[in-house]
Amino acid sequence: MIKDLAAWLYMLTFVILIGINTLPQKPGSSRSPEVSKPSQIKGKPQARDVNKIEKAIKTGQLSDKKALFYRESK
Amino acid sequence: MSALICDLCPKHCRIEEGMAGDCRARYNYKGVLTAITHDRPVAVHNDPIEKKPLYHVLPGSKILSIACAGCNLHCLNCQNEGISQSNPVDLKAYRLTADEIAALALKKGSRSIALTYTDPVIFYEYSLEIGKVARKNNLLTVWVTAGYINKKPLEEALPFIDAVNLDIKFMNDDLYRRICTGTLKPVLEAAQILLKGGKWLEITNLIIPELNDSEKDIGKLINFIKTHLGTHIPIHFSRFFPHHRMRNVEPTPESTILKAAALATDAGMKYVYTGNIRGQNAHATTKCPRCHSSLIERRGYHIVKNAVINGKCMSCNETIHGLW
Ligand code: SF4
Ligand SMILES: [Zn+2]
Repeated sequence: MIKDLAAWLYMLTFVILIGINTLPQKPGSSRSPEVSKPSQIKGKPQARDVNKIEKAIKTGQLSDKKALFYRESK
Repeated sequence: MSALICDLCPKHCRIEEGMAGDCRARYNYKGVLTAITHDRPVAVHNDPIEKKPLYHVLPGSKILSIACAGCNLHCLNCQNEGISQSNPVDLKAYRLTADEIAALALKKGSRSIALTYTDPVIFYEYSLEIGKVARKNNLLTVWVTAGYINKKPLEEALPFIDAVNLDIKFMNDDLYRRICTGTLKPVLEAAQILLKGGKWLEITNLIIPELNDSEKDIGKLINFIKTHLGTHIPIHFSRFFPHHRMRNVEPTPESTILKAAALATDAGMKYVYTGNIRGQNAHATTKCPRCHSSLIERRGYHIVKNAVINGKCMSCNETIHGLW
């Protein structure tokens, strides 16, 4: 009886160990850098609070300096 | 009202009224592209010039270091994301004209002014004005930049630049796109334009595990510098530490940086340095390429010895490249 139990425990441990070793690695455990964000090479225009920006330009918190190197879009 | 196209950097943003470009620093204000961070620096520090890093320009001197908010790149590992990835309207800025910056530099005993921390490209007009005033006051102007700028604006900026630390991040266009939202070609072109324009140039390369740490990657960079820029261009290989949106990557082992330095030296590069390595392993000494005597010894950002006399090795009179 005890012998059977020991054999059964041995088998169970063996099966569990095999299972652990063949499981796929958890995706989050990889060391590779976070590169999941899609590439965005074309400049993406940013809009935040227009009123806040224009108020900041009017009060001088931000500058109204005319930039160089731009043109009107056709 | 029609939209505007910004031609300052290779992103060529199309910006509708009431919108800013990708860098957040250039805003379509009632149909006029407006450099909203002009004269509005968010960082003003008097740093040792070695911190830029620049090892061959006025060693041991102080450099007044200026940044405005925003950036045209969005690197996942950015070290200054608090100012570079913020909207200028959300940050408290100083109000300092170029004249006031130069006066401050003189008052603080700085011998040069750096446009740094974010990128001078996105505060281009301010960088030019500072460069002009600096020249009048006998101060050098330094750009610490990723070099993501179009040819024409860079060429027009040349008269107002003395020295540049150019960050070449990868020798791989795909990594530029995925990690930094940029591309490689304009950066390599910028390096050549700066050199042709007679500017003093030092290159920084941050080595990140599994991204650009192979012998092949490092070899490609060394080969580009050697072939297209020259063996006299100092290279700074720097260790990466987890930061911003790249916290799941281990710091670069010191051994990788030392391997990179050895590869560059073996390839014939004359001035090879390591960054973010302290103590005995650091390559922080400028050696004479001919007689190999130690000329400039550094401990951290301090100079402990300087034996470059009038740009020459004190022992054998060999020319040591740089602005001394
Ligand atoms: S400088 Fe700014 S606005 Fe201009 S193209 Fe580049 S990211 Fe866009
Ligand atoms: Zn010598």
